[in-house]
Amino acid sequence: MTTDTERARERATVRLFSEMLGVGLVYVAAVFGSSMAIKFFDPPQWVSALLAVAPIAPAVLMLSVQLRYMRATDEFERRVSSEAVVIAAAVIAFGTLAYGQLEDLAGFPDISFMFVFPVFCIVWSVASVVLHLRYK
Amino acid sequence: MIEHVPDKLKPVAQRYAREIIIASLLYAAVVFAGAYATGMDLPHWVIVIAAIVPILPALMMLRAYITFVNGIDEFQRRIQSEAVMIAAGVTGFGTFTYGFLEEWAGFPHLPLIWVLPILIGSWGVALCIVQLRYK
Repeated sequence: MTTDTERARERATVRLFSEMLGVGLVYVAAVFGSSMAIKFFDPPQWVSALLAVAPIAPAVLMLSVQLRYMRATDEFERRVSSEAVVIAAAVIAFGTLAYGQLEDLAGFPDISFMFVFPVFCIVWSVASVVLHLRYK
Repeated sequence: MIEHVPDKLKPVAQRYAREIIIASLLYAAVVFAGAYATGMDLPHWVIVIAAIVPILPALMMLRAYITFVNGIDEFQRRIQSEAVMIAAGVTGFGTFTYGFLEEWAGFPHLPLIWVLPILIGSWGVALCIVQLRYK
């Protein structure tokens, strides 16, 4: 029984990793491609806007890969990964709110929306590692 | 079996509602007090602390939610975790894309304060959709 669940978990992990890597590379390529295109061709504003929005397509694929992984793994994995996401979401939500107020009230420098996602990913990874270690 | 589920869920949900209401009231009070305090020409560090203090009731909300999620059954937990995942994805990729629009297409700068409403809003919508889909 244990080996079966372990094998299933391993299979799901390998699939998550390979699919995520593939889609992630497409996403990175799309982001770089659109930024290069905007920089070099200097297109009209609506074309720039379209190019900036285009990487959303691989991003949606990344989200669906993650959701499929969560459905394929066992309860334990799902619990750990969802707890890590909740922690990351909370850190981001309340962190940005606090910083937004610092911007507003205390004159701190403006930070672009662009940094929300990288910080989210970092917090999520750290939380996953810590939770895995804690549950072991 | 079916009758046992709401019985078990009820105290958990009630406790969650109670804790969230208390934490939210505290949160609102602290935020308004902080905003009010900035009008009083206080030293800079006091304002910085006033802007950070709302983190404490926010942590109470997070604790209430984690207690709630640990108290519900596997099926409910699955719905919750999928909704959070979707909301995090929408917010993450959405803000990232908007950051590019700001940078390259000259869209106006949005303060970070809007990330929380976007996250909570997409979470609520995702929760409704996931719940309807599993019914």
